[in-house]
Amino acid sequence: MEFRPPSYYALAALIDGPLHGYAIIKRAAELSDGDVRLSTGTLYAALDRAMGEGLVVAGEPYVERGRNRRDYELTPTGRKALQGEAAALARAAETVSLRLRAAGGGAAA
Amino acid sequence: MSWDRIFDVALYAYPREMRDRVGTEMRDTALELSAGSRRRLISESFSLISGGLRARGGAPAPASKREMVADCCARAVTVWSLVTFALLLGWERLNYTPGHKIIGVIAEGLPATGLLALAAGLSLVGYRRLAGLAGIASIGFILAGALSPGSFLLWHSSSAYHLRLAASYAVPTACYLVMVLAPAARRRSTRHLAWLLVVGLLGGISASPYPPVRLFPVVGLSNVLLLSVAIAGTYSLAVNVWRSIGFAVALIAFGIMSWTTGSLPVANLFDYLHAALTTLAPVALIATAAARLVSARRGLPG
Repeated sequence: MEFRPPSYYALAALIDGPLHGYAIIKRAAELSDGDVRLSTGTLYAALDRAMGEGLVVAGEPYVERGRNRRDYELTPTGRKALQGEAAALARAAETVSLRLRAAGGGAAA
Repeated sequence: MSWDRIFDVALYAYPREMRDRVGTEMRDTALELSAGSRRRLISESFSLISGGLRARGGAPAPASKREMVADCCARAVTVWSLVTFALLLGWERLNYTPGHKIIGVIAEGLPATGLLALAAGLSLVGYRRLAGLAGIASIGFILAGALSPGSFLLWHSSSAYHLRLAASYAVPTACYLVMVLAPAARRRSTRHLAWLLVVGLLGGISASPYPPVRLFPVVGLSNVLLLSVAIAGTYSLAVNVWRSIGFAVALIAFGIMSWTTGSLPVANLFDYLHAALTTLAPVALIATAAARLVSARRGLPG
């Protein structure tokens, strides 16, 4: 399965526990140091697909301070997929960093 | 208009199922996200519209391959019957228009026209099995009329011609059969009957002697209708790729008719347009729809 940054960070936002849509967007921005600014359309498309693939489950809808909300939670399958993706990204980063060092391009950040 | 309302309108871009399930939640999230920022309000509106169109484009296929094929066939033959109905109406009024190049030389007849209208109407409302039966009956009338001894087509009496004529109806006949044997479920709605009215009016006025509508006999009612189908198919690529494939199959049916009944190869500019619409457009539509489906199934969006 392929994760693009918005989906990756949207799912990563759920690592510490269930969150509603708005909280996922805020948490994803924090985790990515502001690089990923999810829009509502992108977030719900990602959540919809993730639910379809069993990576995320949705809780019951509720109203909080006049806002309609629903909490989303990572499933064990989703956690495993995220771990796999994180490991793949780490390997990719390491490979490139090693090559850069070997080529004398300086240490990668 | 308040932003709540604007977001509600934007959410209409989404498939109904998703809108009903998470529409209010999405609206409230968008409102909360864009609180105090007019720029963010605008970008969220566009995000909802584009997200909705993407959701429709990548909308899950019907549950099984069988349903997928049935749905495409139904969409294709509904478009085919609407266009053919309009052309037959024009035929009744004028005896000959360039539009009839696409149905070749067929026998005119009220039963065929009426049954095609019935097939189109039933399919539009959602009675697909009945629509399939009416459609098969209409093709039967068309072919029987074309091949009858009284037909003015006697000069086309070779068996090769008869075979070509029969072949030209292969696609719609196959689609109607699928509708009868394995109809795809569809929510019933009389609202869609408006399409029958629209094409009926187009067909009815196509033979008019009045200047504003004389364009049809010049350009060819078929080209006007087929161009509309091609545009609708292209638009559907962004909304529902399965619908787009249905439009493409309808165009293919007309393409086969054109080539097998001998109205092509091309003779003038409008014939070139006709050939492009019925040959190249469906191929391009299906290729693009397939690419979109493949990309929609790969990975998570965004």
